[in-house]
Amino acid sequence: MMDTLIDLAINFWKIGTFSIGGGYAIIALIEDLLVDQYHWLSLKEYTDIITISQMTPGPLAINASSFTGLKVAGFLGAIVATVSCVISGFVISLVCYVFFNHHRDNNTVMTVLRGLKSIATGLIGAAGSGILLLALTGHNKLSFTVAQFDIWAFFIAVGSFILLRRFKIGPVWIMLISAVVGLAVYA
Amino acid sequence: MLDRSLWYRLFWLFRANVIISCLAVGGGYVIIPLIKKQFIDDKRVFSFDDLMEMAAVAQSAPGAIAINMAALTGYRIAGFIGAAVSCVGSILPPLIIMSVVAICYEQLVNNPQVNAALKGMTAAIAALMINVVIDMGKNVVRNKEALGIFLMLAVFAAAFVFNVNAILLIIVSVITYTLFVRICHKDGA
Repeated sequence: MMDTLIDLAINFWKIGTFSIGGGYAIIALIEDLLVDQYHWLSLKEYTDIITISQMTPGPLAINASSFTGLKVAGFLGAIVATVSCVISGFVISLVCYVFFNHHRDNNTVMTVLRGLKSIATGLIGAAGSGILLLALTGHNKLSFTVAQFDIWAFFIAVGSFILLRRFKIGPVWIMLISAVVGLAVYA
Repeated sequence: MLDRSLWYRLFWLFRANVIISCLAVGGGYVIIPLIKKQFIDDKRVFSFDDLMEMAAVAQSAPGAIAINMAALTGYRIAGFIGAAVSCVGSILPPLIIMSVVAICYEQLVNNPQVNAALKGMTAAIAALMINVVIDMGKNVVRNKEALGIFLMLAVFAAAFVFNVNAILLIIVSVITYTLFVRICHKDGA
């Protein structure tokens, strides 16, 4: 049991530490360690986790840690795997942020930070567009046919956007309303 | 503003992060609009510009962006203890949900109602993200710096159309941008 927990800790620490850029950068590493080397997950379970992660709260890495940890070593395993997975990001982002705040008068630091803001905007825009494409067509490729176009998803997206920008409705309500609309039109 | 006792701020942070984490379906940048709502629109504890800075740092460090963001927002409100409390708050919902999913995995994957609700939520999430990207884009344009605007559009195209790896994109573009700015304006602009 102890050996399993240590293995979980080491491997999820690796996944957390080497997944720079977040999200899908880590998929390959998860497959390599969890499926091929340790056989903690089957290939089917691994692809299902990716799908489930799209639909449940929380980052993919955390979902994979909790699922695998629980399956391999029960609830304690889930906690060990999840904490190991987040510790590097936690420490490194705090160190970077504190460093930036202490060197605000330095021109190079300010330039780097300003550049990073533009990059963040571009990356978040790309992620949002990808999700929109997924909602509208069921996949995230740029080319799609008319038959794949989901008119309901289009209405939900446009409706949410108008509620957000014109009527300043909060995200919590937007999510609940769309879940209900989803149930009404798809189920 | 939150100016009451440390305990009050820690409790508020924990609550805010649990809520944000429960709604952040799909993970990643989805949490940016949710953080904006809790921390900026409701409580005004920091500016939108601060949020963009934190997002920039969170995505450049390793690990899940959502957790790194929780650490940074927590640190802003209540120092290192705030960072720790925020992280615990944001990890708990996925930890509990995925544990339940792991236990009743088969039933969930095949349930049509669950899938229908989630499909509706995906479309809403896309709208939430585009809404916040418009605000962030306005912020970049307001600096009136051609290179910054170009960088934003170039990164968008590279990531969305050409699927360039995010790490590579961040490293190459931040170095190029910094060198350009330093060479063009010797005073650092």
